[in-house]
Amino acid sequence: MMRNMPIYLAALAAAAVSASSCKEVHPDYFEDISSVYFNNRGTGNVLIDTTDVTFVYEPLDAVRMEVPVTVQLLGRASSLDREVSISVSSDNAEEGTDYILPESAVLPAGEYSFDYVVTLLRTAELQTSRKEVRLELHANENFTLAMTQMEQTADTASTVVFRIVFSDMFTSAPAAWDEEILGTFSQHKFQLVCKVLDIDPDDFNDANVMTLPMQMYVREEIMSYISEETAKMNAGQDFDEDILDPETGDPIIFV
Amino acid sequence: MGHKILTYLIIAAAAVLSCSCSRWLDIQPYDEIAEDDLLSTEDGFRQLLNGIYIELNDEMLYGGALSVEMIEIMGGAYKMGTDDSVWGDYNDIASYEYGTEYWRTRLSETWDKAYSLILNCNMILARIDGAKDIFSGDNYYIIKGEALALRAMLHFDMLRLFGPVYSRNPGASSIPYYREYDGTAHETQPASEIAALVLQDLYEARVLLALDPVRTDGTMMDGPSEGVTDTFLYYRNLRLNYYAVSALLARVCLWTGDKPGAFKYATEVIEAGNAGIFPFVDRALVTGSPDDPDRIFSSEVIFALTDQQRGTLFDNYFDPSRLPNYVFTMESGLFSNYIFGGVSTGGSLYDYRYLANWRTTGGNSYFYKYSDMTATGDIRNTMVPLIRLGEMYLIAAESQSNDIAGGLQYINILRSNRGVTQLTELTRDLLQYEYIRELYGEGQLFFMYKRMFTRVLFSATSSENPEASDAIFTVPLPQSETEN
Repeated sequence: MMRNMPIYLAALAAAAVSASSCKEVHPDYFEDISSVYFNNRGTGNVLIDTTDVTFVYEPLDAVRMEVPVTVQLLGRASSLDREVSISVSSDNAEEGTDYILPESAVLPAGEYSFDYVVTLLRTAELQTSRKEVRLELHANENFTLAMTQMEQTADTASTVVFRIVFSDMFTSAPAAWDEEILGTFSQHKFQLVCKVLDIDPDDFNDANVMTLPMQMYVREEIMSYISEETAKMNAGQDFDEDILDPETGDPIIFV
Repeated sequence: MGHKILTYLIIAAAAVLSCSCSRWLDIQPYDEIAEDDLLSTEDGFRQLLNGIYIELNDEMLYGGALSVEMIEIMGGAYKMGTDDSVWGDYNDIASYEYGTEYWRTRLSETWDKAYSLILNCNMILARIDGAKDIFSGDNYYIIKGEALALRAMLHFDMLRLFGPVYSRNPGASSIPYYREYDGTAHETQPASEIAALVLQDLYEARVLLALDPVRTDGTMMDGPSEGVTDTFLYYRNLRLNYYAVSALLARVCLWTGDKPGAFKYATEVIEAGNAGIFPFVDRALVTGSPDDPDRIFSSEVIFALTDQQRGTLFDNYFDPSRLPNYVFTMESGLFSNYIFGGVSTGGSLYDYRYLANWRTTGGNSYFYKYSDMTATGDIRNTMVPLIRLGEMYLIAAESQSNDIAGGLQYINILRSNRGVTQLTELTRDLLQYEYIRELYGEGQLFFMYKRMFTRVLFSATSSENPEASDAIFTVPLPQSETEN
């Protein structure tokens, strides 16, 4: 449906230009439409209907993460606030425990879009499993659903259903974790590094931040730390148990 | 950043209130450290230099693309299969189709990685003179010399890969040369100008590394004596040491057609070899224990990287157990009739290089140079040779005069240390066969053919060997460079 919109608008524009009368023309196409759709964009401005987020790049003490989901108006702005009907469901997440929803979903007067902000909650379960919430738009007295999907070059994206997948896990090493320098990636190693050196986890997403000198610093410091804590362990003193590999129970071998 | 300040305050308070909870607080918090601070101590300079050496092992550089993989395919080292589902994009690079999306990306990654390490060399070089007083002993000279040599080596390999066929067109545009740590993009320069800059860096490095302990104490590959904890000046052939710089100078001089220069530096390294710094491999280590030979002839290695994961080179490319997946190996006719067989070509199955590096099963021969020795933890299992003594003999043979036949004595010294009979003459073809025997799987063959501007030997069947051309030897610059 959306793919045809530019053609239709172009036709309207052409019609307006070709009108020989000097009478003011007031395009009235949108006055007949008052519709909403999910309009969330990924890389290359491609419409997405799913987002996959993780807490691992959030500070270790962060317990919430807000995910704004943009709802877009198709039609003319109104002078009144208008309620949008959104249902939220999940097979494995519970409202209040795993996520919090806004009290209402309202397109403010004069606006063409608004963000429906879902707040995700960091739970221990997220370190071992992924959860998903599914948002779905419905028609109501204010809005129709004029289009339900958008065909794109690579895929077809839904414009009435939006899924948020979330976890506290890595699916792969972050971009700036160089395994030549820091060894094979593991979530446990990563969390140890961030804790001991007080590194913002998000730094590991940017090689311009986590430069070679920085990675060498991290490497030397963390290996030294593990060595010192291991010596304490061997001497029967208190030590940081996070230096132990959860699978083997032995001190982590970094590189 | 605000949450971090709060975190520090909480941590600081906790540290004051409870010593038992402050185990890890004696480490300077990471984000209190500016990058500049890392180079305020000698340790910081050492760490960054070590990091550059480690990063050379990246698979886009000498951990793959520029040692055993892409560059060796371009150098005809491996027989490609016909099944695209197995060989994938490798057939494209074997046909010098540099413009496919896959190889454009790959070449660009190699370029980016090389220049990112050059940037780090420049970070050292930009700061080291201002910090000269912090260095102990001769370490200022060693670290600066190695950083200059690394910068030169990386530029030179980008020149050899992306630059023109030097012997045909030294004035052609090639690559940019970065000597400053200022983040500005540089224009490409003619190959001759880049070569001059490479030489300038190497000359300076060689002067600085005149204090290299390798000249008096050898490579010290046995490590320090008990009680010595600082190993920085040990394992010198895992660094761009004084002789590695001389060897690089020999390479560069030969590339630019300066045969007297090439001969001078190659023979300097040969003399160091004769003096016991890089002795030829002990025959017993090759033939005495054939199941566990010193496959890389480690005593002859002038410069190698060290990579704990080196075994993956064998696992990923050469291990015959990979079949029916692709396995890199020499075309059988070339192997049997020219390199390790053939009456007039000097090939022999008694050649140490065959005995140590190859295994023949079921009529097929497989390359084992990067297969681990049995002894676990042996440093030789981590070495990826980038420059070796044998190449100095090959360079000396080629550069001793303008008549290649006059280089016979150098080839025969090399061959006598490989357990094979003397050649009675030396031609360009015979020299190339010797190059293949000596440097197979080390990333030098493509550059040899490009330098000599000859057909690339993929096979004993001449129709399968692409003729020399600027098109096959000149790799297009990455799009990111041509668009700027």
